[in-house]
Amino acid sequence: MIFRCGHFRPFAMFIGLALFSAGCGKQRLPSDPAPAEKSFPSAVAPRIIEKSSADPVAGPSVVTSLSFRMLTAESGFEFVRNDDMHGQERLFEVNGGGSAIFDFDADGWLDIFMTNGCRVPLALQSKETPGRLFRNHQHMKFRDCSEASGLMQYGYGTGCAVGDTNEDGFEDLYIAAFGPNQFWVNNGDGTFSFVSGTDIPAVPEWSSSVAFADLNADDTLDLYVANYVAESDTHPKLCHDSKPDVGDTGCSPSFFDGVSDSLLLSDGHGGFLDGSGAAGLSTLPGKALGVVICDFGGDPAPEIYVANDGEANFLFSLEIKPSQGEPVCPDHVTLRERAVFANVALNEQGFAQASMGVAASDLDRNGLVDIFLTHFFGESNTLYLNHSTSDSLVFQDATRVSALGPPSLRKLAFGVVSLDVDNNGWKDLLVANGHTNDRTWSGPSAPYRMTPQLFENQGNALFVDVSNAAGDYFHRELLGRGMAMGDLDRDGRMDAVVSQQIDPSVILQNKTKSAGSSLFLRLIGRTCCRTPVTARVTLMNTEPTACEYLVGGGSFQSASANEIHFGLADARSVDLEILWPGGDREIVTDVTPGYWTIRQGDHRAWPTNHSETVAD
Amino acid sequence: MTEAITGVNKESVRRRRKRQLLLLVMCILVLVGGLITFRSMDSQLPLGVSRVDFEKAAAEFKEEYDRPGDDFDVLMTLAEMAAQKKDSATAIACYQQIPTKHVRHGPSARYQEALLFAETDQVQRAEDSFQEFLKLLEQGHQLPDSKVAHSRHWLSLIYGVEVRQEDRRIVLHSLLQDHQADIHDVKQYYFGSLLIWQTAFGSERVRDFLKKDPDNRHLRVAAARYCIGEGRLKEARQQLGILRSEDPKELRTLAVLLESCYDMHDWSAFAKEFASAPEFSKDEPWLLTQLRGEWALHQNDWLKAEEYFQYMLETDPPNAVCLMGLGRALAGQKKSKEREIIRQRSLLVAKLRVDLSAITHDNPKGARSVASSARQLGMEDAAAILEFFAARMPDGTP
Repeated sequence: MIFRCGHFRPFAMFIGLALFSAGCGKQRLPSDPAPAEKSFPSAVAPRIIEKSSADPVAGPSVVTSLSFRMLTAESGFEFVRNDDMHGQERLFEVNGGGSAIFDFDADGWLDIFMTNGCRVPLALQSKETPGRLFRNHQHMKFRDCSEASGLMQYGYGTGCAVGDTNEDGFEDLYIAAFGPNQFWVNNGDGTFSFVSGTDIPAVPEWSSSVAFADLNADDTLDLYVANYVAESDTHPKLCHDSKPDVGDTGCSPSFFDGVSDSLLLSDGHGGFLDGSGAAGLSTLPGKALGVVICDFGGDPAPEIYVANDGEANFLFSLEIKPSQGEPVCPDHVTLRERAVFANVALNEQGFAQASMGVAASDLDRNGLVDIFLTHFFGESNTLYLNHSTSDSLVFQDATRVSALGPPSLRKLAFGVVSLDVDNNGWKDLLVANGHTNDRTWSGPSAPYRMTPQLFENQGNALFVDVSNAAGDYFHRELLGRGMAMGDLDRDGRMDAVVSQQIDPSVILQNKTKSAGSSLFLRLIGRTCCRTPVTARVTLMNTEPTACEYLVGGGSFQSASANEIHFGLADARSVDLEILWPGGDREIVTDVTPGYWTIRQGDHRAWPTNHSETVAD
Repeated sequence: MTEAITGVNKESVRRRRKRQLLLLVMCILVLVGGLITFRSMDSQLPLGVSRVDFEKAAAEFKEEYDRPGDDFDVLMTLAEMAAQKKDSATAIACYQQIPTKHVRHGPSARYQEALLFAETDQVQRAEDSFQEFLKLLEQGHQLPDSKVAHSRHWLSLIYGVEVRQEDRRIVLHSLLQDHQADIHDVKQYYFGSLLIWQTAFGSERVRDFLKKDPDNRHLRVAAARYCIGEGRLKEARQQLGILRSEDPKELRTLAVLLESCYDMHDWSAFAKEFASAPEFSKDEPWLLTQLRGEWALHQNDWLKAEEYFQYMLETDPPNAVCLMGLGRALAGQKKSKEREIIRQRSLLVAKLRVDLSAITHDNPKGARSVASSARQLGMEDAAAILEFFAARMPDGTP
């Protein structure tokens, strides 16, 4: 009926209307729009946290007078370490090496030794890249005298320690290694002689840092060797890498077994005996990377602090059985571990951190030596302030108070020295940074090379990161490792040497313009060791207390100059109290800023001649 | 006669016109009704789906299942087709039109849309959908085990990235109870406070999530926490200050703000914020309880500090921070023997923390080492589960 012609027009209208409506109709949006379609108001203040730069150092508003200049080849100091790096990041190739600053020829000018690596496996006996000795020719000029000196360190050198073991007035050198360690005696004529295994026990472990000190009170220098982990040079441990197309790569230290450290006691005749077992070290395996020997308790017996990688750190006090007139034997010395009681085993959160470098210095000027440790990426460096009493060794984790924590969280720190850069009497901190593993392919949040850092002590161990304003060096992204300090140009300002991986190692010349006056003391023991490690010098009548210790070891795999340095600001003269190892006290008055040598018992200071040795 | 005929003609014309008018009205009504029906059908189509798409999907369903599908069958088919084409928005829109209560498709729709939300960084919606899916379990629905486990793992990941440890623990507990946990879940459940949470991965994911949902409070608090973890304390405090002003009563924000003050050693700021904290409650964030302990220590209120840290350790025995805090509280009370016990536990926990990195799916020795330490800490359940896993690993036969 609808389709009859007479009635077609209305139906056509219906159809037309229907078609028209269908053509114009839009799909109504669902009541719950798909989330992807939701629009965000552009006027809302941004709430997304800005992506941090890979290097969150102090901003441009930091002002400091501290300044360093970087020197490399132009000074004659040319050294690029060979770590046998081939991309596999085997554990031994990521730690790098160390440096020693010492006056090997006793001309009053500090020289530099750099440990070097080699090709691995060690059986290759690669002699292509020995360690290098650079003689100081003054005015920041150095010359490689390795061949002339005979000091040819082959093998995979790691750390080193300096001390006058035979008391002849010339400092000797012990070199730790991944492989056989080496002991080089200074002949006193500009040359060195290698000491064979019969006179010094072999240390079979992978050694990292080493430190000299008289550890059994027999007035001869002994040696503490920090050993790392059990690892093979022929079959190094490899782990699967998440990076595409890499396959196996190096493993984290947690995959390795720790090993015990070594205690080598002087036999009094130029050789050493192994006192490790008798001392109890064999029952205390660790993963030691740093060691420092110092009088932490102020009593004046030495203690040994060992920085372990990812495990609780050690603090050893020494128990020495009386010798009753006989030469002290290795079994007369026992080490008692007390880091837990002293609160220096773990950090404030109860974590064992990946400790690498250690600096021991009185940072808050309370007369006691504090400990500063450098750690892995994502962990803060840690400062332990010393609050020991005559009854007990006690420290407190003061990382938060010191403001040293946050700037170090995105760094992986190795070598560290505590030095008064501007001679204002407060010790600052210089830190070498650089990751161990290159994961930059995963994005900017995984930095490899890192900028070093300089922390200025504002007083009372409160620090500010002044890296941004302290010189061009602090803007360079590097793989910093060992670090040693010493006044290389004898201008009264402390300099430093940094061992680096891949890039040339550098000298950091202190160019701080506003630096006050300073005092550099060379101490020569007579009844105690000639190198009187753990001696303490105090500036009398000074508030707050100003005292310095001659420490053994410190930093990472490095040895700083065996000198005491005081920043005197504008003081014209000072009186000194010296506490020698063994307990002798000595007062020396009216010492003016400059370079002085103090021999035990003289009660006076001799000017340190920079061209000849002081006769005994 | 003519008049009669004319009259008859006029009447018939009138009747005819009435019929025509009636017919026209009916046509209009049908037209309108048809339009309304037709348009309402179209308006129920998900965004991105046309009537043609719908009909096509209906035809495909019928061809596959040999029966015509209802609207929800077709919506599921449409969603799957969109997902295959990587058209997440359309797929989600389709799933969202299926009510959870729908017997055949509701649970699957929630699960699938949750996955798509998660894969497109819409974490709040993902969380809501996963939770809605899992709630069906409580209501007695039978859900595929694999999907339940997968949902829980996703939630665990989301909570981990957002640093919502309390919520994560609940999910991990469910995984363990239903034997769906892997060894990494076990590690996270029992030793979560020892694991590094402030990873670059987490920090980047939070930023990605915030791009999609910048108002999300959980994410904004998490972003501030990552700032703290990266040492950018001032930045964190600024962000947290804004959050706090938006919702002064929200405790997670307060906890993280207090953490930033604590890390900056700014006790005066800490005291100011802490003054507005409510009384302790068992439901409050763990971080807040822990910081109550730290505040008590700062005030030399050793007893109070001991209470807070002990409470935390009951839930989380290997919590290293709380062990250290408890140690200090005991030292303050001169309880030397108790302190010595806590010291030894701290050392054990420090070692255990390092050993955790050796727990992998194929390292029985690593798992057993941690199990041994756990046993020494009195964590028998943890030890038993780790040994269970170790025994089933390659070369794991004791």
